[in-house]
Amino acid sequence: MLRRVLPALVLLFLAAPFAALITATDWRHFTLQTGDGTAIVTSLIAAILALMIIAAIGTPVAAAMARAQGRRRIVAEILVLLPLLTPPLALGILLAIFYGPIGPIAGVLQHLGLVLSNNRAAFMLATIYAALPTYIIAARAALAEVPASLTDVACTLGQSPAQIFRRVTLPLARKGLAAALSLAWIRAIGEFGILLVIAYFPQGMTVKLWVNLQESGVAAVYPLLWIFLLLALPLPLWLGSATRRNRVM
Amino acid sequence: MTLDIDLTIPAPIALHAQFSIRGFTALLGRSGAGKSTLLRALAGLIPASGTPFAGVPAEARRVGYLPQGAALFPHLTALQNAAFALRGPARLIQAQSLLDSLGVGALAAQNAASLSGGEAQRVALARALASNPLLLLLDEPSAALDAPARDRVIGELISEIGKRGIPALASTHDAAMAGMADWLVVLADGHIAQQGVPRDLFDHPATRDVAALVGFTNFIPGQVIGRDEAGLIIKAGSVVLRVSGHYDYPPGALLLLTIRADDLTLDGSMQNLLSGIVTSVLQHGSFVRLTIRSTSGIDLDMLVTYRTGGACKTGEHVTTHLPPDRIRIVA
Repeated sequence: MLRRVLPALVLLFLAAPFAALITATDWRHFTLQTGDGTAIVTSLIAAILALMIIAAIGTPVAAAMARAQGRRRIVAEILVLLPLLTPPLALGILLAIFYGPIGPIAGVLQHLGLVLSNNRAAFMLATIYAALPTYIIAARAALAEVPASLTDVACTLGQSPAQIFRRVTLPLARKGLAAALSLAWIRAIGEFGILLVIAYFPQGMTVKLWVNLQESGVAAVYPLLWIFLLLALPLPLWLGSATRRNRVM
Repeated sequence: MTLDIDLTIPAPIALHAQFSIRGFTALLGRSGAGKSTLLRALAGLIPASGTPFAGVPAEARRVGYLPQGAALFPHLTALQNAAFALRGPARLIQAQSLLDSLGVGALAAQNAASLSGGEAQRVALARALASNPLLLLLDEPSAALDAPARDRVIGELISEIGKRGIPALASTHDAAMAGMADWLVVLADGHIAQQGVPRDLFDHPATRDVAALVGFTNFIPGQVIGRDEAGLIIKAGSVVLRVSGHYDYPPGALLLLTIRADDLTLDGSMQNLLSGIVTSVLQHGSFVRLTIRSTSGIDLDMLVTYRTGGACKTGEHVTTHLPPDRIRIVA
């Protein structure tokens, strides 16, 4: 009996605040605030771009960590866990101190035409930094599940490392990698703390929710929150269902 | 069909191996002796120096490698596995004919994960053969097979490889499989302890390690006390044993004698007798395994037919005969 009731109760506990959101929303006067549209576009573009960059730069790191042993593995793990564990607001401060206009590499960045404060570049930096460690940790677990004997055989069958990754590692780790991408997406699209410090402008959805609450009260939060949920939810759902299908490659 | 190997491997197990691969060659050694390490080094998967393949990367070696358990790609069908190394529009046709030639053509459409141990091994062999290898490496090919089918499956595997004329090296810790090979190489203590035709190694092991690996279980230290035209006279504990054969050991030399458990008999011969007490009796299929503690302080392991030894009881006094022509001397 408990085994059936408990999961239902837990799901109810998770869903209850969203039931409150349905009742709290003023459906007859459902309107977005000024600037909400821009915030939506800003967040979506940044999160999609960040996800592509994260997959491109995070996957090789995860693959190297999946194979690493001994001290190297521990050092790499600590380096990835540090940004994962640090509270986002504190991370924002650390990013501002290092990459910001008064940071030690500000000169070099300026030379490259980059000023990482309150602009799109800072927004991208925050989004990537927020989601990359999550992706690496989850992708490493997925890649470590692929037996070394299979990649060894592929190597003796004349395949290059890139071919082995595409033909063996990727299809075998795809469920885990999709889960890693989902988690990274959730971190990227929902990031608030880092953005608050280094990219308050251009305002993304999360910062705009805060601004709406401050300036117009709680009722102004709900419409944007609905849009946020509608836009953020499909990708993880699609990744989950696409990889559950039994696909022979 | 002959390939000479001279490899030095620094890690994970330090090895120096100089031996020949002749036809289907078995690499016999205990677990942890470095058999898999040697195979992986030959495949180019771990660093090693020496010949052949010096400096050639793994993907360019033309070595067919079958790891333990066949390691088929589980997301592919048997046919896609066999075609893995092939290119061009005819790749699936080529792969199908390879599967057909190995008797697993009917399994082409099956998912690799659904195949039995023996079937998977044949598909893995087809996959390796597709790239026209100069050498086949098989890591413990008998490990994933059920006992009743093992000898048959391995026998068929050896004959399929033999038909194609490709030299093969198969690691094993199983003396029965080693006995089926064309050539036998024994790895112990980081080097090749002995190599030769299996029959010779099974009959005349050079060292204690080799003897133990090919099934000798009795090891008796002794000292040469005399020599005549029939062989050596050796004192072992408090008894005198005769060993047939022509040996050059001088009187006083310390030797290690060995004899197979199934070469000991309970019949009443006139020489090479050890009397003792049966300390354990174990059923061993249609045989009985007796452990005998002799009065001269030597423990003997003996395998006799149920008819001969079935009546033996623990604590019983017996006299064991060690036939002089069955005793071997090892280093």
